[in-house]
Formats: sequence, structure tokens, C-alpha cells
Amino acid sequence: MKIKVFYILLLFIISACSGEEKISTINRGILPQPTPSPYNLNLDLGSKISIHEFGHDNRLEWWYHNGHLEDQNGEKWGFHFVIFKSENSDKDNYVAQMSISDIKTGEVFQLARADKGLNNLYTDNLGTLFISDWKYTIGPKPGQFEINIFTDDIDLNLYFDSLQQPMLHNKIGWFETSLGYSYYYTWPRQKTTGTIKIRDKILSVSGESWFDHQWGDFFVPGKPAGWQWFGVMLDNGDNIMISQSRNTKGNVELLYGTYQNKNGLVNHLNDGIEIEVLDDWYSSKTQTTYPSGWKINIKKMDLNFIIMPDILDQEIYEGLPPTQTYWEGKSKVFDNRNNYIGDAFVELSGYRDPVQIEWTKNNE
Amino acid sequence: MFETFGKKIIQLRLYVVIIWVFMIFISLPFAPQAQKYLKPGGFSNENFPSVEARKLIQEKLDVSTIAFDLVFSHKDWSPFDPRFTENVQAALLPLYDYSEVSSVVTHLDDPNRASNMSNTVHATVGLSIELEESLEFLKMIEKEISPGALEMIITGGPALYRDISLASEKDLRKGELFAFPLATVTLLIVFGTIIAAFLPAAVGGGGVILGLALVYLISQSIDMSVFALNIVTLLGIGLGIDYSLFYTSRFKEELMNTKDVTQAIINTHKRAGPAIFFSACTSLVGLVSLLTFDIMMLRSVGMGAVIVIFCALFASLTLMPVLLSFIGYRINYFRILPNRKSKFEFWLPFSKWVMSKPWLILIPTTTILIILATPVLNMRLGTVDATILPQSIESRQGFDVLYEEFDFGKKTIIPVIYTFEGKTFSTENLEYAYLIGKNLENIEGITRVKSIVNIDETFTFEQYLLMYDNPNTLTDFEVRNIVENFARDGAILFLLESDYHPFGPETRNLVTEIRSYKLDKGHMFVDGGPGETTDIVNSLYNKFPIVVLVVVLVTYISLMILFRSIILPLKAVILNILSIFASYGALVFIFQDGNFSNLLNFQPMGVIDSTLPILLFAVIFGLSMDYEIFLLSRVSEAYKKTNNNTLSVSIGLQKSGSIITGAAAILIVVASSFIIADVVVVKAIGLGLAIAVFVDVTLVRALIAPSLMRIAGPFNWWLPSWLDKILPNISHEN
Repeated sequence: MKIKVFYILLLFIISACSGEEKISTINRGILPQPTPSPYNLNLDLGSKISIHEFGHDNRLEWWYHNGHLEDQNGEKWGFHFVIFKSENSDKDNYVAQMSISDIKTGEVFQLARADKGLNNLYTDNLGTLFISDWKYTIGPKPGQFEINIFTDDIDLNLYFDSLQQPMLHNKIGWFETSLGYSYYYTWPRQKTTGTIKIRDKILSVSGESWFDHQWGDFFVPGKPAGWQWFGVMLDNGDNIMISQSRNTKGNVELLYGTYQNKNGLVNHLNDGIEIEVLDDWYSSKTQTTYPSGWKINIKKMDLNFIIMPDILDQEIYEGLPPTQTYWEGKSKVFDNRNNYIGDAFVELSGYRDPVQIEWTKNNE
Repeated sequence: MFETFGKKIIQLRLYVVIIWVFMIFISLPFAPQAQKYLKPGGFSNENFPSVEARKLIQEKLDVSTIAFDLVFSHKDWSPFDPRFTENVQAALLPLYDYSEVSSVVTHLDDPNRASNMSNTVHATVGLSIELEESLEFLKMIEKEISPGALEMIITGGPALYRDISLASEKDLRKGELFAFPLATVTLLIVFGTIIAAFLPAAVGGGGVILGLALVYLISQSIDMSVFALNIVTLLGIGLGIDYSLFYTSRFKEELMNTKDVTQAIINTHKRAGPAIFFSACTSLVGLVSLLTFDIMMLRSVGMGAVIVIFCALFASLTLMPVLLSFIGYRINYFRILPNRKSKFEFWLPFSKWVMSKPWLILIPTTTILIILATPVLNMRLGTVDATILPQSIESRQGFDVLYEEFDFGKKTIIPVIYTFEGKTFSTENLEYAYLIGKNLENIEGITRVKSIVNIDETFTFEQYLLMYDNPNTLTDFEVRNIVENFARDGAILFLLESDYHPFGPETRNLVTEIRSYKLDKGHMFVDGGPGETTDIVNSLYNKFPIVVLVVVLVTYISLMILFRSIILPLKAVILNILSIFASYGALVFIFQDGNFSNLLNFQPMGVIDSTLPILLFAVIFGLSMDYEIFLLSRVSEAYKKTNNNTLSVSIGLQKSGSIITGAAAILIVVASSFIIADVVVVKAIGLGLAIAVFVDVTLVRALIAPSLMRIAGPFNWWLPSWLDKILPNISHEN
């Protein structure tokens, strides 16, 4: 009897020590969250669009301005300003870039800032984003924005007010590729006023600008993936957006466009767009060759035009890792008879050779 | 044997003194340096799966697991203000010249290193050296880092370990500073004369000096943890003085009876010697058990304790009789407290009162003990972090900033490394890694997984395949970062996040679940605090019940041999366990739940460090048994003379009550001196020990033990005759 009690006690202790070993197996049936049904941004056009002007809870988002300005002396200037927001971590990361192109001298000035947007303020209709010492204001009305950049060398203080309705791209302002999905709309023609400071000279400027807002759960690979993007503002008041995206094999995966006439009527161009590259430009700084000059044919509209950069070197690299270097430049639009018919901004991404990741370097 | 030994000591007393003076002289320069070769940490083991995982992470991914953090702040400038960033870059510039620095990551590289709450950032400096070297490197480099207009705090692993070592050393000095005077005052109260009071303190001190010098010597060849030093010193002082107290007390009694100094010493050696020897042996039974654990810190305490207890025993049985032979009657000189006519006058009526109503005493006191022990039911075993340091220390302040403003420690991070054959971005390997990532995401309690295949929960495997078609083309800064740091051919790192306490039982369950995955190909290893905590707790508590069983059995059999009874040893071990549980309960109530945290000046740990219950068991079981032996030996002696159970218990208490109370009081004051320690673990050990001893000498020895013995009556002394025949016969006297 005593021996039994002893063994029972011993067994109890041993079982308490060892416990039952659990074995789990890999479940192959777990699938990612399905892509959410897109909002119909059409329903939000008008006053409700302002709810989409602020930041979204998505992996990538950007607010992008470019414009064609003229100072009090009649000199031409181009500018671009963009805020990238990425949500890879728990906290958003912000990178802002700006460039000013002096058409007369051919010089391009560029700066960048990074931040976490911690001091950003939002009210019902006003959003203020601080990227380090740069300030960006959204609102108070839809299509109204303000950039305030003061630095030792360069200032950029511009106010934007939209003259036309926003354009929703790909019909509902949403598109999907193999790389993910994105919402995308444009305020195509914004009256722009303000000042710029270059080399201690403060200049009053005015002109027209283009605004893009894009957000979604997608990723942006580098060369050979990338895109050619064109934001065209014709002198007749019509606006055209054309985007050609390449996949990771370098093949064109998506080519589409949006045409909005001066009255706001939109024509979605999902086929029949042809882009012919006329020339290229080599950046000795980054050893990168970019297309330079394009002939574009939009069959549906029976429209042909040529886009030529105002300055060849409008490569943007400031504040970004080398893999994200791109070309962003003020350009002119000509018809077939070489008549000037408007201005454009062109964005070329995915042209710089990849920078090898550290461990593939080590493996070599 | 002890009588002969006592005679020899007296004959050779001059040599004994010379040898002791020589040993103390030799030891003096080394004892204060005992810490010099002690290692920081000591809570892990090279054979733990988590350590294997860490090595794999280091080898396969070139990720440094040793890093320190520099916390920069400014009252007005925001982290991305060019003035702020320039100062940060200037401060970090000297670091790039050192090959020991493997990486420097600032908020400009990773914006998450800028605080949401204030103008504060932190930069992480990865080191390619081992922890011990990193302490020296930090000492050298910190002079070169100038934060300019910014405020700077240095924290992170090496800084915290450095400060824990410094704080431990400071605690030791503080503890010693308080322990010796307080113990001497207690001795003064016990003996009433200055010489009698100072002698045990001096002999105990001599034993500690010798013990610490030996620890210094041994630590040069055997790895010992710095955390052991305080506990070892505490035990050395407490037990050293206790043994000397027993000896001095008996000497005074014998001197009164024999009126001859030499004969009194021989009698003391004959009668108190075995009790002290047995007492030391019972203490050693528990403490030696620490040597069986795989944790260097516990082994260090075990080893250190064996050394100091041996030194204390050696001092009390050699130095003490010799000194007493020189001092003789002068032991009663310089009386400062009035001589009590009879020290037995309290214990005799008290024991009679207790035994007159045994059930009335037993039930409420046992209930109190059970209530004291109740919090044990909520004990959450784990390991501790930097919060064991006081908030006044720089690295702790830095840790608090990282905790408050960067969520360090708020989110539990569980690093899991998956190793496999072949290329990471092959379709087959990527798909399996993707499946693993999805499975890890779905474990209950995991809030987020970060890896090359857990970039975004909406991404399909096909999208990852596209993304990694040529990883070099990745443009997304953070994805590139993840690819560069979280993967190599043959290895992928998954960082799992959880809201559970990093070192609590829920996180250990997560670790166990992750480790339980049976993979079709490759292997998964869990590292980090959670992995290590799981290994530590598993390692300790798989062994602990067996150790408890062995210690209890050895003690039970020893007592059975000593007291020729099967009931008394059973009572002794049960009461010991009750004392230990009461002490555990107090630990949970105070250190885990945070009660009295303001009074005791510490931050609640939320868990009980998994080494604490084991340490306390090892120390308290032996100590409680000491007191039990002193009590029972007197009771047994009286029973042999009177054959009357109740009377013998009264006589036993009468003769041992004061000495046990005095010895316990000394141990309580010595242990309490460590409550003022800055390092919370040391504080917890000091308090746990003080509470256990207090409970033991009040509730257990004074009330429960006599009540139980009264209730058991003659059964106390029952031993089956067949057992009596086979048990060895050892006589004892106290």
C-alpha cells in the first residue's frame, strides 16, 4: 500500500514535470485578407471628396503637385512637390520632396525632408501636415492646398485653388495590378499663386498646377518595373492623364488615361493609347538612361501630340534611397505641326539600375 | 569527536590564531574585489534552444544581438529639425571609426526611432563583440560621444548590465554597512555585554572575508554571476554570526557550570559543535541542490554559499573557541544591558500556555499561514528586465524613455528564425515561408508578424513572388530593410509581436506553441526574451520538483536518524514548506502585485523572477531546518530524561527559544539590510528571507510546532522497531 502511494506521488511529480507535448502542423488553407471592395469615389465627388483628401490607412499614399509658373519678370518656372506616406510600420513614415526648375538657366533645385507626421493636425475640413520644418495644408475647401517651405537657400510658398472638377481615373478612381490596388484622383488645373526664393531672390509667381492623390495597398518595385506618367494641361483648357506601368518583367501591364475637357466632361481611355519614345537622356550622375521626348497617339480622341522636356536633367534623387531615383520634369506639348499647345509634367520611374541588397552582394 | 577536536584546538590555539591572522591578511585585499571576475547576467545557458536560435541569427543574418541605445532629446527642436539631426550625426560620427561597431541606426534611417510624444529620438548602435567586451567598449566610447546641444542618455544591454553590476556592488556595500552594525546591536540585546556581542560579529566577519576571497579566486577559473555576490554575502554574514552566537551562548552557559574556561570550551565544542555542524549541513543540503541547475546564477549562489557556509562553520569551530580561550571570563565584561535573571522565564509559561489549548492555537495560526501563502496561487513565473534597477540610474532612465515613448517592452517581440536548404526566393522556399508566416499570424495572442513574407496582410503569395522576382529591384525602403536584415539564403527571420507580458506565462505558451510546429522542411527556432524565459523556466521547473523531493527526503531521513521518529521529521518538513509558501505568498503580494512598492521603493515586476522561488527554497529550507534541529534536539534530550512529551516540549522551548529567537533576529536584520538594495531581485531575496525566518520563529516554531507536538503526544517518538534497527545511531547534544 505504501509503495503504491509512493509510486502514485512519483508519477504525479513526473507527469507535472514533463507535460504533454503538443505538435502543430502548418495549415495550408490560410489565405490573405481579400482585396477590399473599392469605394465609389464618384459618389464622393463634390463636397464629400474632402474626406479623401486627408491620409488613409493604407500601405502607400502620396500627395503630388506639379506646376507651370511665371514670375513677375515673365520668367518661366516649373516645380514639383510630393509627400510620400508609407505605413510599413506601426507608425507612418513621411518623405517630402520638392524641386524647382529654372527654365531660363536650365537649373534644377531640389530638397527633401523626412518625418513621421507626428505633429499633423486635422479638423473636419483642414489638414496640416508637418514634414520636419515644411508645412503642407489641405483645405479648407476641396481642391485647396498650400505649401510653405522656408529654408536657407530655397523657399516655396504656394497656394492652390482648383478651377475644375476632380478627375477620377479608371472610371471609379481605383485600379488594380499584379502589384496591388490603388485609389487615384486628380485636381487637374489649379490656380496657383505665391512666392519662390532662389539665391536670396524672392519672386512672386503665378500659374497653373496639377494635383494627384493616390493611396492603396500596393508595392512599387524598381527597374525593370516602373512607369511613364504624363499630366498634360492643354491651352484649350482640356486635361489629359496618361499612365503606362511596367510589371516586374518589364512588360507593359497597364496603359490607360483620363481625358477631361474644360467643361469637366471626362473620357476614360482604357485602350487605343500609343506612346512612342523619341529620344533618351543619360544621367552621368546616376548612370541612368531615361526616355526623353514622346509622341502620343490617343486613337479614341483622334489626338496626336508630342511632349518634349523643357530641361533634360530634371532627375530627382534628393532624400531618397538610390533605388527610388526618378525623373520628374516640366515639359512642353506640341501638335503634329510642332505648334505649342500646352504644358505637361512627366514622371519616369524604374529606370535606374537596381542597387543590390547587402546580402546578395555578400553572396557574390 | 567534537570533544577531541575542541581539545586539539585549544592545544594549538597559538597556531590557529596565526593561521587565521595569516588567512585574513591574505584575504583582505581580495575580498573587496570578489566582484571583479564575476560575470554580468548568468541567467542563461549555452545549451538552451533560444541560445542556439540567437547564434543562428548572428551567423546566418549577421545581426548583432549586442547593442546599446543613445537617447537624444531637445526641449524645442523637433527630431527632424536640421539642427537636431546635425547634432545627432555629429555625436555618432566617432562611432564609425571603430570596428567593434557593426551598425548605427538613427531616426533618419528609421523614422520609428523618433518619439510621438516629445522631441526625443534614439539611435541603436550594434556591436560585433560579446557582452563582456561591450562593457569595456562602452566605457571607452562614451567619452567620445558628444551630443552638443542635445540631452543624451545611454541605455541598452551593455549599459544596463554595467549599471546592474555597479548597483549590485553598491547594494553590497550598503547591505554590509547596515548588516554588521544591526547584527551587533541585536547581539548586544541578546548577550547584554559588548565583548559577547562583538565576538560573533567579528568571527562571522572573518568567515565572510575568507569566503569572499575564495569566491574571488574561484571566479577566475569558473564562471560565476555577479548576482550571486549579494546573496552569498547575506548568507555569510547571517549564518556566520548565527553559528558564532550559538557557540558563544553555549560557552557562557558552560562557563557558568564548569567555572573553567578550557573545560567550558571543550564542553561547548562537544555539545554545540555537532549542532552547529548539523545546522551547517542542513543549510548546505538545500544550497548544494542549486549546483544541479543549468543556470549559472543559481550555480554561483550554490557554489558561493557552500564556500561561505563552510568558512562560517570553520571560523565558528576554530577561531571562536581560540578567541574565547583568550577572552575567558572577560566575555561578560562591559555590560551595557541589565542581566536578566532567567532567560527561560518567558518561554516556559508561554510553551505551557500554547500546549494547554493546542487546537485553539493550531487552527488560527495555520489559517494565518495559509492566508499568507494564498497569493502563491497567482504566482506568475518569468524573468525580469531593466526595471530591477532603480529609476535614478541613467540606463534605467533611458530604458523608461524607450518604454514610454517607443513602446519598448510594451509589445513583446518574439524572434523566430526559420532555416532551410536552398535559395530564399525560390518559388518553393518562398511559398513555404509564406505559409509559415500566415500560420504565425494566426496564432492567438500574436498581434503582428514582420518578415519578408509578412509585409502586408493583403498581399498574396503571387504578389510576393513578383516582389521578390528580383529583390534588388525593391524600391520600398522598409521592404528593402526587411529583406536586408531579415533574410539570407537558408534563413528567414520572423519577428512576432504580442501584447502579452514579455516574460509571463502566456508568452511562454506562445513560444511553446511556435516550437511545437512540425515543419515539412527546415526548422524553426525561437529566440529573444520570450524564448530565453521559456528555456529558463522550463529548465528550472522541470528539475525543481525533483530537487525538492530529494532535499525533502534527505532532510526527512536525516532527521529520522537524528530524532528516532517518523512523525517529528514529517512535521518538520511540512512546517518548513509552510514557512516557504508564506514567504512565496509575500513575494507575490509585494513584488509581483506591487503592494508596498512605494514604501519599498521599487517598480512592480508583474512576474516573479523564476530563480527566486528556487533560491528561497534552497536558503529557507536549510535555515528553517536549523531552527527545527535546535528546538527538537533540546526536546529530544528532555524526552530521553523525562519520557514526558508535554514537559519535554516545554523544556525544549525553554532552552532553545531565546537562542533561536536571537539567531533568527540576527538573520532577519541581516536579510532586512538588503531590502534597501537598489536591485529589486536582491531586495526581494532580502525581504523574502526576512519574512520566512520571521514566520518560522514566530508562528511555526513558537506556536504551531508545540501545538502539533502536544496533539501528537507519544506518537511524536514513534519509530517502528525494524526501522530503529536499520537506522544508524548518531547521538546529538546541544
